[in-house]
Amino acid sequence: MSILERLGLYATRPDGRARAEIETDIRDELEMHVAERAAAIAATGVTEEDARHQAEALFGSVDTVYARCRATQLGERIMLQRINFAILLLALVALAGVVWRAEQVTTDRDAAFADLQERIASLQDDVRDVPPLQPVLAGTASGQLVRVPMVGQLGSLPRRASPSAKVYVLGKVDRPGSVEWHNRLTLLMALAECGGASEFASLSKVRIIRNKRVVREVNVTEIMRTGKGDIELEKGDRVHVPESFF
Amino acid sequence: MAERRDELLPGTLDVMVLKVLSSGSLHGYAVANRIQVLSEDVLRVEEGSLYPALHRMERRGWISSSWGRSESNRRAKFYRLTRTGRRRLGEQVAAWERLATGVGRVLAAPFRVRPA
Repeated sequence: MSILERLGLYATRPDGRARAEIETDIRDELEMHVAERAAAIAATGVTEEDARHQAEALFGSVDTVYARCRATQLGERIMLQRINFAILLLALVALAGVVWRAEQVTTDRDAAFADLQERIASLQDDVRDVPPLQPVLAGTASGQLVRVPMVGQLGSLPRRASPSAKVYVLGKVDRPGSVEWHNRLTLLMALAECGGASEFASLSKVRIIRNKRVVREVNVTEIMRTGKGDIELEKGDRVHVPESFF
Repeated sequence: MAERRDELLPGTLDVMVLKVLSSGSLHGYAVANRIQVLSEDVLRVEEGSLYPALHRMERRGWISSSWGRSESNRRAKFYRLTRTGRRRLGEQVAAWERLATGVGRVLAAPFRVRPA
């Protein structure tokens, strides 16, 4: 028997009928032989029961013969069944692998995204007036480059004062209004930013209003005369330069 | 009837089945009987072992089969030699004769075999 025949491959095409039909035919064929032999033996004067036993003994194991005949007739199907099973098993293993990997990737991606959001949020706490992150198109029509601002660059952008970090100067100054606050801004500097005192200003009674209360009343003339006692302002301070009645 | 019944040499069943079927269409039981009669009961074949050989040769295309009725009116599968089978029979008969001749020559060597 060749290797191909062992695998169930023969020169002729397999019997296309239903498996059960083929199996019944094999059973019938073997049974016919035993029955014919038993009848022949019984004709010599042996009881039918003994004749049947003798016929079966001469035949050998019906089940073994049946199994061999069945393997020959259904060889291809049995082999295909095994191949199908193997393919199915492989496909299941591959599918399980893909699902597992996809889950890993999703988990990784979600973690990376959450991390990114966290970093952006922490940077945005520090950074003001930074245009939103958007890809920037640059280059020529033939070869456009897409430049995407990197999150890492945000940390190195210059820090600007918060829009709310201002000091407000009112009253008799040349240009009343707001002055950008910085942490070394003094009263004199704020007045200077507003163009200095106007003609009828009373510089001896300049008030600093903080949190809805007058916290200081300052003699600016004295500060300018001595050069001492200039006051550092805080965010949101209001400076009021009153009018002189003299 | 012979005193002894000998086991079959491997591969000899196929060629005997082909030879028996070359006389016409027969079912398995008849093939078994023919071999027994023609060998004058010298060959002892477990009758069942005939069937795997028949099915194998059918799948090889050496014989073909059809269902009919036996002499005792039982449903029976009849086998018949195909053209391929006839060619195989010729080849196997020739191979057997070569083998038998070779073995025969050795056994006919002119020196005496001492009894054990």
